[in-house]
Amino acid sequence: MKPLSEKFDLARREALAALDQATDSATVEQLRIDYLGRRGAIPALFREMGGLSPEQRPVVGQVANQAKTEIQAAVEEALQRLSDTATTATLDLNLDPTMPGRRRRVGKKHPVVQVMDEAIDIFRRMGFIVADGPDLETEYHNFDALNTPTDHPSRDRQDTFYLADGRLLRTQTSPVQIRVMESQEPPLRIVCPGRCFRRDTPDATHSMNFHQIEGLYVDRQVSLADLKATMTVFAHELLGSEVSVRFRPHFFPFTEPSLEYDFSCIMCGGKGCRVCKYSGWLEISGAGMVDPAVFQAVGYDPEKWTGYAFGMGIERIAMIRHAIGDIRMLYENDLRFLAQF
Amino acid sequence: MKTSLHWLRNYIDINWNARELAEMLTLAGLEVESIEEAAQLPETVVVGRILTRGKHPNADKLSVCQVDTGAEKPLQIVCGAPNCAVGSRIPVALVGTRLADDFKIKKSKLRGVASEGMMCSAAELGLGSDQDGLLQLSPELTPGLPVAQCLGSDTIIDWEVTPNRPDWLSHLGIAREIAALAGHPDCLRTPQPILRPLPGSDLREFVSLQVDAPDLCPRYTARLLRQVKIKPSPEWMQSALTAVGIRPINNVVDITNYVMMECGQPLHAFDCDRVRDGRLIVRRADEGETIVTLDQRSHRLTSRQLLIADPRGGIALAGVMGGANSEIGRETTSVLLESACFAPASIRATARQLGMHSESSHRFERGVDIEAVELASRRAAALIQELADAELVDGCLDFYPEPYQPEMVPCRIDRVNQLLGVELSIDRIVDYFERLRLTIVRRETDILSVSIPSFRRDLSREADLIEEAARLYGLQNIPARSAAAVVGGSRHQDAYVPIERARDGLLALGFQETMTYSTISADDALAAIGGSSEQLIELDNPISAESACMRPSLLPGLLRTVAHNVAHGNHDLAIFEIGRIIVNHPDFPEERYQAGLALGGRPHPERYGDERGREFDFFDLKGRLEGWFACRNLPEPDCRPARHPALVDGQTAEMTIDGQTVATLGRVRPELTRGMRLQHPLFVALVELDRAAAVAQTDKKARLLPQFPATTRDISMIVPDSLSHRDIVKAIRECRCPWLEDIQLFDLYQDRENLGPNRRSLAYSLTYRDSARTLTDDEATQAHEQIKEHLAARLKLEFR
Ligand SMILES: [Zn+2]
Repeated sequence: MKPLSEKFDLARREALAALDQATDSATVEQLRIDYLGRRGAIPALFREMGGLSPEQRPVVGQVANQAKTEIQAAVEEALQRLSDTATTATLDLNLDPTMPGRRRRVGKKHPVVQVMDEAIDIFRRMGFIVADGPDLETEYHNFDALNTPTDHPSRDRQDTFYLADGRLLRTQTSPVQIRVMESQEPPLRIVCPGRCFRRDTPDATHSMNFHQIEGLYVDRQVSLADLKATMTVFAHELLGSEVSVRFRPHFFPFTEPSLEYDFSCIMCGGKGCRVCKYSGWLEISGAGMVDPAVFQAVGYDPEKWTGYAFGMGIERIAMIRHAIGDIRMLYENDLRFLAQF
Repeated sequence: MKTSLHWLRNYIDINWNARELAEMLTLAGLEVESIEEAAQLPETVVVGRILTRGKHPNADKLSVCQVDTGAEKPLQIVCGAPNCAVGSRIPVALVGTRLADDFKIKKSKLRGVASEGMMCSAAELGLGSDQDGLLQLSPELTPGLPVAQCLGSDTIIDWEVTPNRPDWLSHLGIAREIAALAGHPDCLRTPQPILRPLPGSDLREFVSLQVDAPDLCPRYTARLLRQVKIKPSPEWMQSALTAVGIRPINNVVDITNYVMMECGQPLHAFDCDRVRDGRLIVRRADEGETIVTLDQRSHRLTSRQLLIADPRGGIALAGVMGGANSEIGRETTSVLLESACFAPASIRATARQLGMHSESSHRFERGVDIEAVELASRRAAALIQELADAELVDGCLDFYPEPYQPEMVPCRIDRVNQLLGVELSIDRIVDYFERLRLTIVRRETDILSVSIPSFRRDLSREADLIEEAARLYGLQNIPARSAAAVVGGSRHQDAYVPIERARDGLLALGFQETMTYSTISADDALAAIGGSSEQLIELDNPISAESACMRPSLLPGLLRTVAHNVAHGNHDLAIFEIGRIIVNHPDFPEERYQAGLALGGRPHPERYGDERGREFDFFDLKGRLEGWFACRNLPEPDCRPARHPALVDGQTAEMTIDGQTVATLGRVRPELTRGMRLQHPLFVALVELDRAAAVAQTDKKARLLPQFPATTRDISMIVPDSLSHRDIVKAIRECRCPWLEDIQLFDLYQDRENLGPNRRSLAYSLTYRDSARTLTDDEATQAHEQIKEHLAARLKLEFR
């Protein structure tokens, strides 16, 4: 007769092998009853342990417990395995992953807004904040306070939209600078983005409305050198560090000295091409040191404060950047066009 | 302002080519509009001398010439021009010359006679329009010399002169700038006219001058020339004028134009015999007075306009255009020469009012050099004497009651350096000013007193002088140096932050941004807001009715965008625009930011079957708006049915927060999309961004997540259609049950047969939870029953 521990071991091996072979849960249940059930093989062997000597009992007990635990685990494992197989069997295994996905639409910023946002972002990093002002302006804020002579042609009804009461649609965002200076003491560092209006007949390069971003920095000891640094950083941040900036004297009523600044042509790298009219430079816009008369108009002491101001057209930069030949395309909003940027 | 390089060389030696010159002046603030370089002649176009001329055996109109071109043997050239006279010097394009891209001179036979080269007209060389005959060259030229060397090609530079620098509106003025930039102000050669008046003559015998409006005419001079022979001006003057775009007319008129282009002073010549009694009167026009100008147009004048008159009436519109009645003509023998200075504003007003802009008015509008008025007159008189064989009557009438007093402008050296961010020495600054012909009248260690010449009236303040120093130092030499970092203000003051947040939310929801014009037609505006025209801000001078008023809503722009896209086959649309709208209120116009959304078409045109056909509906738009409110951290809006003039009644709602309308949404009325061929319903929403920004919660506090399980109970009810979902939810909330966490609609059932008309069945799932313990089943049931009792008492419904 075999020793009891061998019988336990044999039952364990038989049970594990049978469970491993089981292909349905009824068989597993039957095996569980056969081995672990009240009348099953393992309890029967346990009952035989009563006849063992006290020395043998712990040795056989260890083997017995191991057999019971392992069979229990194997039953669980077999049931789990059969359940997974059953789940998989219900799946559609013929899914065609090449069929079109349920696409999430993405919205994109309008290309003008993209440039505007980037410009604002660059200036914010240099300590500027955005100031806003109305589209309907007084002649005072749009012209007088900016030192524009009373008979300056830009005030013409040919060039500027007026309302019957004498107010006008701002032709530049500079009046925002005046409004901020009227209500705040220096130092100031603001940019004024926004829509401007000129009475231009629409064509490829003219639009009745367009966007500008202007900047103003007023502090003690602000110099032209600061302005050059700011505009150079701006050019590099917006278009890359290989872009160079050129400054030329110019004339604007509200700055003195006044200058225009050009960026080296991004299309040809400055060698000259159709876009830059073979000059190698793209005229971006104007800037200068705030004219003392402007400071006086808003009640700043021009001896105490100095400042620079600059401005540029957003559509122009967007058109250069994306090689868009006609400004009207920006306002037509063909989705196939807008989706490109 | 056009200049010819040849012309400029009369006053200054120019050692740069046109491009270098343009670059130098551009960097000094005188921008180049265009450079027109005359065609460069190839070296193989040489001077030829016609040795013999014979008839072509086979063609009457052709000649066969032997031409000396400096080579060992003369060339035989067949020529069709009538003026190929023996002995004349003409340009010859040798064999191999390329005159145009597709025109190369070859050895050839013309009607059987060999021809080695081509004799050329001016037109064939690109030197002018004359194609009637061979270009006749100076008889002194040696055959074989490349024509390019003797017939210098002129270069025309067109400058963009800023309005503050009228002194740049002449060749001398630009030469003066070049001299200053080059650092040699002394190398400028200004013309020194020498007059030879007829001895014993006296201008006063013939002419008198009376200025009645000295405020509009601070200086007026007149000279008289007699025995004038009107004829064409010499070739050099005609070509100089033609080069800068002025049409030659006759010697006297050409001289006035030449002097204007030379020194910037417009001149006028009257036929003195047509000036009654030789009496010149400078006065304001009478109201309603008329004058016929040189261009044969008649003008009615007002008293704001300045007139040059004789005792009969006007003979010139001062500074703008002469009168037809005193015009110089072929028979003129006596020329009265006007050189004057008129008040810019008056000239500008006249020119604008009458729509007459001329080279002359352009210069007077910007201001001429009052001190140079007489010099220009002298220069022109000397030229007329010389080129029209005229006698000059001795004397000059010169009305100049208040001679120019130079302005003294102080300039602090520290201020120059501080404003420019440089360190220039006083000597250097003095040098710059002297190069610009400013006089330093006083010099101390740190301050200069500068006297401003009459041709630089734009310099009146220290800031102006600092700009001059910057120009001469060169902006390119100023260092780019960053200031100390000063933050401009708080981020919370930044006006664009709320707009950018709003935009980010809409982009995340899949809407494409668009941008339309701020000005629209009044019809579109009224259709969108349904109000009266008092609510519109209308332009007083619109370009067209299409853009005559400010948009009071973004809706018309959205519809325009939809129309454009549908017309181009883009039917599936999810778009938005963020922009300003302006609504007029009785006392003030309100400008505010709005976001306009449009949704129409199919969410999944890329899929197939039922999914592909599904269209966006009201709840797609509403759900997106709700998502937008959530991502902006706005309080949950209250949504209820509403009416809107542009939206279909019964498919329109408004969303309010704290009683303020934040958004209106609904289906667009078909009459607004008439003619668009929409394939799908179109839904729009208009969101008031300023109001939304005001209630956005930026610093919400964290809430603990629930620790205990929740219990749900369902209610199913039949309600009349008039009872809205919102009413039911509101009534449930009225019970203020502290355990009620959430209310979810999970079923809607409409069936006329079973439920009867205008009734529907709704089913809700209510979630109950206590934050401190697990609710018992009894507690949940009891709370639920209370809510049901409340509903039954409060609303007209029956439970199922
Ligand atoms: Zn280029």
